[in-house]
Amino acid sequence: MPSLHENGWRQGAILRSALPSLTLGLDAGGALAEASSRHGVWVVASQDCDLDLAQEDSVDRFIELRPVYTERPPTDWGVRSSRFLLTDGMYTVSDSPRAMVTAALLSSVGSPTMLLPSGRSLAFKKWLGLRYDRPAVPERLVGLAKEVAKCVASAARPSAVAEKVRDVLMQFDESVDPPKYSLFAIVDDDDGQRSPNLDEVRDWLAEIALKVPLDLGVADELEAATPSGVSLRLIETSYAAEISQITWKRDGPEGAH
Amino acid sequence: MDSILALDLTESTVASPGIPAPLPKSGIYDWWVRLPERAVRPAPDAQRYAVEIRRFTGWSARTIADVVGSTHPTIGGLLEGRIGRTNQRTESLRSRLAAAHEVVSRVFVLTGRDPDRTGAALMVAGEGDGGSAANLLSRGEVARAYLAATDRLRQRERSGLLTGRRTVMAGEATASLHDED
Repeated sequence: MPSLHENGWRQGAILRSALPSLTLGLDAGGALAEASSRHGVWVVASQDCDLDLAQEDSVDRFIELRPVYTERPPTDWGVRSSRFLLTDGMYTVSDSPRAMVTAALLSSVGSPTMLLPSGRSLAFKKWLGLRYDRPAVPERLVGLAKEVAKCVASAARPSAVAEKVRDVLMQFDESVDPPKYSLFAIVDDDDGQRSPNLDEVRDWLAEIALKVPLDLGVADELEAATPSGVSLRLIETSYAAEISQITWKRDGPEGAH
Repeated sequence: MDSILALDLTESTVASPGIPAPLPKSGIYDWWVRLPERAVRPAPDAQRYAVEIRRFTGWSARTIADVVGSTHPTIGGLLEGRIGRTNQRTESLRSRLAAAHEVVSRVFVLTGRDPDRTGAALMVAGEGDGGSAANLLSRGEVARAYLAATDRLRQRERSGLLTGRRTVMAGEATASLHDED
């Protein structure tokens, strides 16, 4: 049974279908009151790995749709604003009602009306808050990415250097065999109050890279920076290594997770 | 033995024009041509590391010795397959060769398996005060040596924001890196 992903659905796919969205409130007497409204154009907000997990006839309601609006669109693209311009004239809104639908319903629509261009799709992921409930990578990179993540996790404890690292990001070059990869550590600087030693963090990344078996991949770029030294492009074009284990500090998890 | 050798070679390789060469006589020179079956014994790690480091870099035994803190005769002996008795000292050498091999083999891959470029990337000092990768290896700073070599290969010039050099295709991250609890 093919998945929604195999059928061409992607995060950021736009579809035309008259679907209701439901909001709940209380009426004047304090009783539960439902308000339903119909909307005709939607964008898929669920991430690609969920679309890959969802078989086309699944009846589990975990595919998130958000309404797409066209009236008075914003003039900027909306990296951090409440309205995000999906593509020319079409936008979505952060506090809009949403619909949780089944894969079967989405399949009944047929195929997406349109897919966002790659750049806008990445921007949409960013706007949604990089909401990976777990890091995801392309299928062909699973072996390498898992090994890198495992080595990051094992290098994290106990390590005074790792304590300062809030995220480790990965990029891959699959055009060569074995693949090359880059590792980027984002280092905590207490909101600019400290100047951490980035060289020792780079050494820490090199130790990790030497533990990853050569036949899986070889690191050719190892960098560290504070949050103020990291571009939005890097965030958008990188995969997350294991982070939950290395960001779990005394007071609880920090950074992206 | 000489006469048998001459006879056999003549009969198996030479024929007068128009006269077919005779069929080899089975069993005549089996006893000296056929090599005894040998059990393949894996080369000890230290020797393999030394041989591969030389192959990946083109370095002399003396250079390898400098990099791993050993002596020219010791490394020369390893390269020639003369393995000394295993003791604490050879174990220490094996460990240093293994560490150097981890770095050298990766740099070899990064240079497109070019020994000249590999040797140069490891020998030439890049930015910073750490010196060349080979120098750092000789001081036992293995991770820093790898960093120096990769910096050297991509001619690192760090300034401004980190942007990354690679692209990612949206919609392809379909496999979870970790299973859900």
